[in-house]
Amino acid sequence: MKEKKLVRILESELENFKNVEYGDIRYVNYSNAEYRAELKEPDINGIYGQNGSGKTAMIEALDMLQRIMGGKTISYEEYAGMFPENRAMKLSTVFFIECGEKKYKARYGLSLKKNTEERRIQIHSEELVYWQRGVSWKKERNAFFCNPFYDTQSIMEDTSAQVVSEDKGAAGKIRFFRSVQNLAVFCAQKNVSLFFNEIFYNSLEAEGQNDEEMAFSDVVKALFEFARMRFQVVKVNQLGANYSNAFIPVNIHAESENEILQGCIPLFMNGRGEFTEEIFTKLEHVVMAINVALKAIIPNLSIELIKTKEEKNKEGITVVQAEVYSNRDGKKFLTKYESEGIKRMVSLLNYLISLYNNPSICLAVDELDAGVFEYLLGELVGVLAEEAKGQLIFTSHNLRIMEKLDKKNIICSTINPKNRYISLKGIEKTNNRRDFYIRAVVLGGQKERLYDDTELQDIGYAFQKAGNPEGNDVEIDFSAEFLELLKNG
Amino acid sequence: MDKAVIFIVEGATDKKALENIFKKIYRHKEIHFEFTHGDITSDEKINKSNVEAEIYKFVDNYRKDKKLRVSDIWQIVQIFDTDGAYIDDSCIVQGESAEFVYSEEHISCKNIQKVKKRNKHKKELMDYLLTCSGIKGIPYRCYYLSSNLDHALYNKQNLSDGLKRKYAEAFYWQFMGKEHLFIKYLDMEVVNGVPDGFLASWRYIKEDLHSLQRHTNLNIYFKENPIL
Repeated sequence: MKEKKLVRILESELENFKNVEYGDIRYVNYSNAEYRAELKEPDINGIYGQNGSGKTAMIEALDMLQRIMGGKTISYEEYAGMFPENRAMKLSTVFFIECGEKKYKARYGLSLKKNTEERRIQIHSEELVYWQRGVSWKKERNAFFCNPFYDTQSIMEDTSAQVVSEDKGAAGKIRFFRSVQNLAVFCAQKNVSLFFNEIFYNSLEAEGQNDEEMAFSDVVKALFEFARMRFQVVKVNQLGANYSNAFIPVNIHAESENEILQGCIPLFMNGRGEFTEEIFTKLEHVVMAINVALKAIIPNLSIELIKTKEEKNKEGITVVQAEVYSNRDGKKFLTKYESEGIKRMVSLLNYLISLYNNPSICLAVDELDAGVFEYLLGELVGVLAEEAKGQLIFTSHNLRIMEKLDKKNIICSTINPKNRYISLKGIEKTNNRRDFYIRAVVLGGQKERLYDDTELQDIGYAFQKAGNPEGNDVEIDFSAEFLELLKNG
Repeated sequence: MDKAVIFIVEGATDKKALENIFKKIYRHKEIHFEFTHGDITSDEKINKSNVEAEIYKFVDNYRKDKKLRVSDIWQIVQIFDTDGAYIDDSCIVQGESAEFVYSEEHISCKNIQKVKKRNKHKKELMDYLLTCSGIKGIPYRCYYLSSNLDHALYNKQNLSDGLKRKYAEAFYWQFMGKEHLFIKYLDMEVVNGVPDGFLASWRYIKEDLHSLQRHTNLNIYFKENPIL
């Protein structure tokens, strides 16, 4: 029987990525977990801020984390442009982990570099630090690995790959660290993590583990499974596919006793949708769940999955073709004609339902508010903030949501690249958070400036000037003396 | 936390000409311009007993929009066009237009009485507001551009609305990136002999034809509110 596992992200620290030189976010349960080793509050985290202030960067960092911890490669095409030249991008994430009765805290630090020649994003080094909970957090254990085999020369020269630890005594007991040579070569070729990949994961199943090995494998297994099965990151470009009207990316988490279905299934809207019979049956269940929730949100709307064709493919597996219809008060039409907001709802609802019910789920969404009616969004987030069991990290521009959240749920991005994220200080219980935020945008008074409009002030003039490059045929009659000053000023 | 300063000017184009200059000069204050369409001093329903409340309406609109507290507002600064309000009635002359036409010596209009009435009303309100040091607890101070903003800043009188706009744009373009020179400009070309003291500057504008001539005491604002 498998132990019940739970992973929660407590903190994200980001360096040298896009417009973030440094930024640190502590999520809602950081202190609860740090000081009492428990998760107490609905873990809803909204990141707010001016355009270009680093909100999306955080979601993208989480996306990379999800892939790396899930044993996957970071796509060069997608991410290279966001990396600094000749420097490492750093991402450090703190987790709270429950494995049955055992509790851990772990920090996974990544140093990533882009290799322009080979067009790869490389995991330059990675470090896993973890603490087991006794009466308090026990002495830290750590494992650091820097892959020497990115340089192919080092494979020839038989360089040895080693997991390094400050606590040699404890690390010496962990047999998993002893023979990573071949694995390291594999990881360097695939650009994947040494600690998080299928081969290493399988080796952690070994029988007869000592306490040190147990703790290490608890942490690694929990994080790997979390990344693969319970942590979903929805970036804006996922919706891009949605906008092109080809399909709705349905973010799914469905858990039964024996299996977990996790990921994003493209629900094609033009009849090309092909699924194995097994997936189709699950999809039908997912659509059913979506409809239950959708009814509460948009009363007369439901989604229908209609089987148009069923056949056996070359491998002899039954494949189903299906179309997605919207049903509004009995009128059926292809869902592709629905508005973007509704497609977005359909896309996210299943995952939001899982998040609401399951404490081990984490969903990170960029622009949660895109295309969604603000009142509705406010209500939805309000419900989640009261009762959601899982974790939601989202960015938004919509200030209505802010009114529905407590100040601890709000993270503000700032105009300072060296300190990108802060929480609002000085809000009193009776303050309307939205009003408080607008006032802080106008007058400042927070640790960092939230908004900079000194350049924006010129926008009206810039528009006029752009439309009248020759000037506007009047001239101010300055004295020669002052004109001279203006020229030299 | 910054404090907000609200400037009240008469027209939309006045805001266009001045707002960004002030914003750039006072980077560490939240500078905001409201314009009154001139109706504070030309609306007959507004008098000494309700003018403060009328001004406060502008302040409060802004305050509510930006979710500020009354205590967030540092000061209210009103910039008047003098419009020749202080000239002797004998300098109001018969003209052909129903509109008021200004020169440095006269105001002419078809209906002389209308000008006289306007001047009396405007004078009364400006005189009253000059003695006013606060509105609803917020410090208040008023300055002038003579005979109006166009005259003071561009040396043009009787501009049409279309031209007012063009001049306001051209004016700001000239100062874009060199906003600090605006203060120098006032001193060099616009003050034209107005004394340095605040009260003395007002006494001056009330004399003779000064309120029809090119003057300002706005330079005093910059002296009293040093740039941080």
